[in-house]
Amino acid sequence: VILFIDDEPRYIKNFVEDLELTLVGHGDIRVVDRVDEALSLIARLNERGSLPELIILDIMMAPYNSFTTEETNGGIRTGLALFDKIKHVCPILIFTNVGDASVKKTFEDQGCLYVKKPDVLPHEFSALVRNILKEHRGGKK
Amino acid sequence: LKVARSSSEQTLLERITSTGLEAPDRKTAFKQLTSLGRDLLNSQACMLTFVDTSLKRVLRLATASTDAFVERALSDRSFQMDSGGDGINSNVVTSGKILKLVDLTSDGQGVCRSNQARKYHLHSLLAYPLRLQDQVLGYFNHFSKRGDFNRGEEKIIALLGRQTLLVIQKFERDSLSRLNRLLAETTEASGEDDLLASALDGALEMLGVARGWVALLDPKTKIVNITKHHRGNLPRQVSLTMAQGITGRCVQSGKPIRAHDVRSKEWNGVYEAFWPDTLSELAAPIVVENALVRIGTTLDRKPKPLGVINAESSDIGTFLPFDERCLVTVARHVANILERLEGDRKVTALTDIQRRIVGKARWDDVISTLSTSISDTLGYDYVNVSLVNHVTNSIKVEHVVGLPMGKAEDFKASAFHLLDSSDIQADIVRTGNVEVPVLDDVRFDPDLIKVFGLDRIVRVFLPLRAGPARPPLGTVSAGYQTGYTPYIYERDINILKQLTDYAAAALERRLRISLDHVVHEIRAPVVGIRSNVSFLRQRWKRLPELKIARKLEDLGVDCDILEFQARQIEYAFAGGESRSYEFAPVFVYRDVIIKTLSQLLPLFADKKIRPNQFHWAFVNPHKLELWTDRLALSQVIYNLLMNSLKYCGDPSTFFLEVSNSETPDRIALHFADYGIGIPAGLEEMVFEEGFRAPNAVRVSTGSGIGLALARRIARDLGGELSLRHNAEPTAFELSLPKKHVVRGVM
Repeated sequence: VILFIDDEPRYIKNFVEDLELTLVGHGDIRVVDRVDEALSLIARLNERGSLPELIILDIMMAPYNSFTTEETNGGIRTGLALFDKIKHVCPILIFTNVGDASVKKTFEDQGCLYVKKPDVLPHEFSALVRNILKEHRGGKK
Repeated sequence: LKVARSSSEQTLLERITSTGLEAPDRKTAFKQLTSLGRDLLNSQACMLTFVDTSLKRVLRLATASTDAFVERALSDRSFQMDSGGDGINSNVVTSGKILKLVDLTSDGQGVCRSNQARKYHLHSLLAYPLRLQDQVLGYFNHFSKRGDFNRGEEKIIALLGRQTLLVIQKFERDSLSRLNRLLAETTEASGEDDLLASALDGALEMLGVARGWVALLDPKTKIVNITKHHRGNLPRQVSLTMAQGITGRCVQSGKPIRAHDVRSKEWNGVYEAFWPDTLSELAAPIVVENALVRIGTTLDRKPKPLGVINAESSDIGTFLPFDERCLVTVARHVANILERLEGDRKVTALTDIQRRIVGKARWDDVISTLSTSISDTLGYDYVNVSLVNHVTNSIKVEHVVGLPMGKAEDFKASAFHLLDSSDIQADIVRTGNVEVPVLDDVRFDPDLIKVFGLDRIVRVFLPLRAGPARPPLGTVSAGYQTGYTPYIYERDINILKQLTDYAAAALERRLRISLDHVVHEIRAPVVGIRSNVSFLRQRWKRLPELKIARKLEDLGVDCDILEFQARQIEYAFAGGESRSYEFAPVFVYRDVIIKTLSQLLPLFADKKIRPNQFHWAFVNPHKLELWTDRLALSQVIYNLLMNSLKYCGDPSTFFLEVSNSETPDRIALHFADYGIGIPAGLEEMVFEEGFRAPNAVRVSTGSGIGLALARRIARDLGGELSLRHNAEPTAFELSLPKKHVVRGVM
């Protein structure tokens, strides 16, 4: 499973569709637009022993009931709070509009790949994800 | 005979060494010693005198005579040294030698006037010096009717003198023990009242007197109010100015005052009698020695007066230098604890102010909270918050507290300075210094100083910035009238700095949050457009026609959203100035409401909200034509509809109804949706720029400017936007003036 966590699915639609066409037969792609749903889905997948291979995570999202407003700085850093909770699940790719260098560094310091949405086109994004998966799957073997 | 003499000496020794040490207080002990001396020496009068070198006075602490008249005459007097008349020769009394004057009636050698000696039959004097280390504390005096003294008398007076010293030391030890207890008990005082009450009780016990007070200086009024903490039934309300009475003079001078006899010439016109039988008084200033003050940009140490602690007695010369030192120690200790309590209070207040600042969504509210808190909570008389405008390269007063009624607006209009000028605020922005300029600093604008009465206000200037590496957003200056103290204390400046730094960070954060949201809302449709274009270009040939059509529709919608967002920024950054509107006849329903909703329908569809979840309840949608700005009105509708979309809650139960109504002078458009609603009590706050209701923050990101802008635009168009119902449904009403109707009213 490749899991997108993004509260504006409309704007990642092309990235998802391109990835689906690129990875036909090589993985199930799921999109959730709420952090609480993301957490419960991960828990369910964990119970089934089928944790995602890759999580593609947005940063600016509403916290719902999973985090306090303060923890997410009014929703601006929800992805950061969520990352702390799920970083041991699988590799995480940050996919966001946030261009703040300090935020980027925070993720990169933890070995996380950080991609700004305006910097990449759908087919480039698919190639990137494919490489990550190849590396991950190769590492597992 | 030898045994008998030895036995009688033993008895004598025992009598002397057992005297005074068990007395309840020092005065009684001295009386016991002089009485014993009188008896043992068969003295005309025995007197204990104390040499007060600091005040150049000799005090008669106790006198005992066989003649009651003589005893009364010699009691309760103090003499100025070296002043002629009754004066005492300081060379004689400070020499530390045994004085043996055999004929006082002809030459008192500065100890006793000859006519006094004759009158009281004081023929000769044998005085034993009370020496402690190298200091002469006083004398044990034996006046005799005879002309000479034998060795026995000399031996007895020496024993009495040594016993007197032991008694003095014993009572000093007792006082020190009480002082230690007082210091220990008050060190952890949790409140000002407890501290002052405990300190006063402990000090009076230590000094062995029953009346006194402790009072604090009111820094605003410069009045010492001594009614609150006193002992001994103060007969009336008492308030003193800084120079009034011994207490006021003590506060003003910052030095202790020991008045041996308040009836003496020295205190004539100064002493204020509150207890009619007071004869001596001791006052110690409650002052923080060496408090750090800022002068210019450098630090110095100056005393900080806080109040006074005072003790009174109905006896003359009750208070000795040792008592003064003890009371000064108490006063300093009280000063330090008061400073700690004040520091604690201000730190608590700081936390509270910070909490209030956090709750402020609007930039103006943060600045207003900052300036009023500096005045009301931190106690400054004057506060000025000025902000930098980088566009005009200037700094201008934004908020001012402490000017005479009606002057604040004039001041705000006048206090405008270019950043490259020599003005003090421009200088603070350039240097980032924290500075307390002198009152006649050349960087002050002399006209402003004079017109607005700032010439007697000592002020500290600080840059308003989030950290040393951040550019200043402006400056903060705070100060008070110079009457109380010409200084601003560094501790207060540090608290002020913490507060301004915090406020600056809060202001920056608001800018940052707002900017992050605005950038995000612009980037999102841009990413949508670019990714659609790229996707179509890459896969055009393999895509079914329907898919291509949907992608093209998405492109159109994203372009519309981008246009709305761009206009949003245009309105938001208009800085309160009305954008120039282009009024023309507009079909409100067809060209604005239906069109805007149509543009947003794909977004509703993304949320799985179907067209049958919308209801139109207005009549003749194509007939109402208003004289208005189409794009501006569309922006209001867009913001309202986007709010409905963002806060729709469960899409399956969402419902939106658009309807209209009419009053004699207005047309009203109603937008009612069944989304998450607006919590009760926040009905007006949701229109404040930057404010977002807690339930809204929880379910969607946003800048909090949508409704504020919608209302601003509605008003610019001559209408009004208001919330009619907060939940189930959440109902907004947009009313527009009927005079703008071109045609087609329902």
